[in-house]
Amino acid sequence: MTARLPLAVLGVGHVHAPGYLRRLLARPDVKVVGLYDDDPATLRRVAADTGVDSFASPDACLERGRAVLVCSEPTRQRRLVELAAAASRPTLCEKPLGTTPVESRALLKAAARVPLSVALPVRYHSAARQLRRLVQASALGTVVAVWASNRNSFPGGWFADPARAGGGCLLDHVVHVADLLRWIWGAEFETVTAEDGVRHRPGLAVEDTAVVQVNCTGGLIATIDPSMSRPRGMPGALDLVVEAWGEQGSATLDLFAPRVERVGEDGRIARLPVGDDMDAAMLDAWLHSVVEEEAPPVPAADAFAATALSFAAKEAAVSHRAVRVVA
Amino acid sequence: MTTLRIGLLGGGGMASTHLRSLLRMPDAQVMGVSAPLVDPAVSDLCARAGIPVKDDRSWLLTGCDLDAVVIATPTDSHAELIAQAAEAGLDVFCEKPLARTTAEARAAVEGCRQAGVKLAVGHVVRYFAAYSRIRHAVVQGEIGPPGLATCRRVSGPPSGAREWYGDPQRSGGVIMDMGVHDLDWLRWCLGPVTRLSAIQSPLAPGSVAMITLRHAGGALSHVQLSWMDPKGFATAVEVSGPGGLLRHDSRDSQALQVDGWPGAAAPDAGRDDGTVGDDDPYLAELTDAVAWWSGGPPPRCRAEDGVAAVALAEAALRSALLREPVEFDDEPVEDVA
Repeated sequence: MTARLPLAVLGVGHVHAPGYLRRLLARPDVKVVGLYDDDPATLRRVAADTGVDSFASPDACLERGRAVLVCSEPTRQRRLVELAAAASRPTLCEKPLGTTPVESRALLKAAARVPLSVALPVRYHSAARQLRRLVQASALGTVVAVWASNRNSFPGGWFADPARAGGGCLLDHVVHVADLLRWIWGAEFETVTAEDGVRHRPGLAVEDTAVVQVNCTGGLIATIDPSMSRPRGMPGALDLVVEAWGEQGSATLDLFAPRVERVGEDGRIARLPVGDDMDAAMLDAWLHSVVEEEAPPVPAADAFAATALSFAAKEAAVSHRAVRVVA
Repeated sequence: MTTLRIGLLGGGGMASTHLRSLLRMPDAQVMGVSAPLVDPAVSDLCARAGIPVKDDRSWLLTGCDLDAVVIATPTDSHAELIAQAAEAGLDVFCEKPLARTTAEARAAVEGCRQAGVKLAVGHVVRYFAAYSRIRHAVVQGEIGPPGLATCRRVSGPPSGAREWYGDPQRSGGVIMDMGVHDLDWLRWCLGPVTRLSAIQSPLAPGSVAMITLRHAGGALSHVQLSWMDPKGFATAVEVSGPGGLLRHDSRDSQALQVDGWPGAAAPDAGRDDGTVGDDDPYLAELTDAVAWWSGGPPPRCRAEDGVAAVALAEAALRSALLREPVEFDDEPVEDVA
């Protein structure tokens, strides 16, 4: 058996960090050698939960690793990825790719120096892959329109803090669908219009409600609902649905539909997901690319293009004008 | 890694499913396919993979230097084919039901034991994520001692190449063909069965049936089976107890739903590039069987469980005929709630 890949984790403040860490710690081919976070309390908590050594400086932490996972809150991504790139460590960065066009471009630049993959795990769900194959085989005929949603209930925590989140639901939730539109249809975005607001968590400093409409190359049109609009405790609050209307048929991708439901004696319904573990599959593909020294499986350029739709949608919502998407 | 040389008996729908799985498995090599009738799906796959296809069964069983054979033929041929494979010294994976009758199923297990070959049976529901998740939750006590389980399995009527299903003498009708899935899963989940009672309508012989089971631990279960659903294949399951309810319905649990226009062929991009289905229960059951043949642990479903499932289905057929409950003398089941 080959030696375990030493992996340093820079930034553990993102909500996805515990899930990624749990999967990484269960792997026999990886050793998580260190954790770092800009916030000492977060670092202490995650280090205590996982039993992994914590480091007071990101440089000392990444020194220990041969590869780096950056799973910080969005505004902290850029600095950590640039440190990893300066140390020539292949890196997996949580989405989105930066919180402003300037940050996003800086992260794309970092990707020129080091293999940089971005955590867009939906690509690894077998149903998403099957939809892509259907579309590529023209099995639905020409697909004319896509209705998509990626909604949840407002998660709280740093999502309410613009200094860490860098934006609202337009930044956090548009990118998954944007990436699917590009990855499945090969579409590029032309113009976007959007409306947004704070309609579910009064007083929130970032938008929690939005609707995005986008014209793509080749004539495909799409709407995306990225709202944090679902009641807290609603079964299935988190969704990712892509409905495609083709000339010869329709397809609905509903990633979190496969489930067992557990109804408690109090009537509360919990959904137990079953089936694909797309996070595990994504980590697997990335680790494979690191060990085999292959190209990053989800290139930063793709995340850059997906995140560009978020920026353009926000600009459109503010300006009340259609915005040309620059990627 | 050793590669097993595997033959496939059968050329219909399940044969094509198993062939696809085998072609994805790095430690399995398909040496040939034998069937009197071969669907285009099977012959296309074989043509692309360079796998010979012949009607001649003895060519496959004795002329291809096989390690093991996968049987996916009509139910009433299983017992004879298992016996021939055992005689040829081959390990066997047999599609469910293990045989058409309990006596045949017992003889198949005994024949394999005497020949020193391993017999696996395709009770694939044990590998469906929702069903194994529910069973895990029940066994872990998440809803307390289970009270009642209800399993539903429906499809459209057998037709075309599936014609033999429609002959209750050959397939055993819905009870033996579809019910055997749920009977096995209920036994795996709730334990041995002590009594059962089934009804079938003379208006549609073999097409609709209901079965009620009493399990040794006290739980009840109910199976609803139909070949009369115009909406096509679907399954549902729920288990309730003093601590709550677990449920799953395949119709609202699809990650991808594809619809074509009425009368047109359903849009299909095929599944042949080997990338679909991290969570493919058919691949998982064969992977377990091949690992077992190569010296690994036994699969989730033992051949004896396959016998018990056939015996339950046969008892249900008898109960429906008698219009009376039937006592059932079950074997112990491993790890039940």
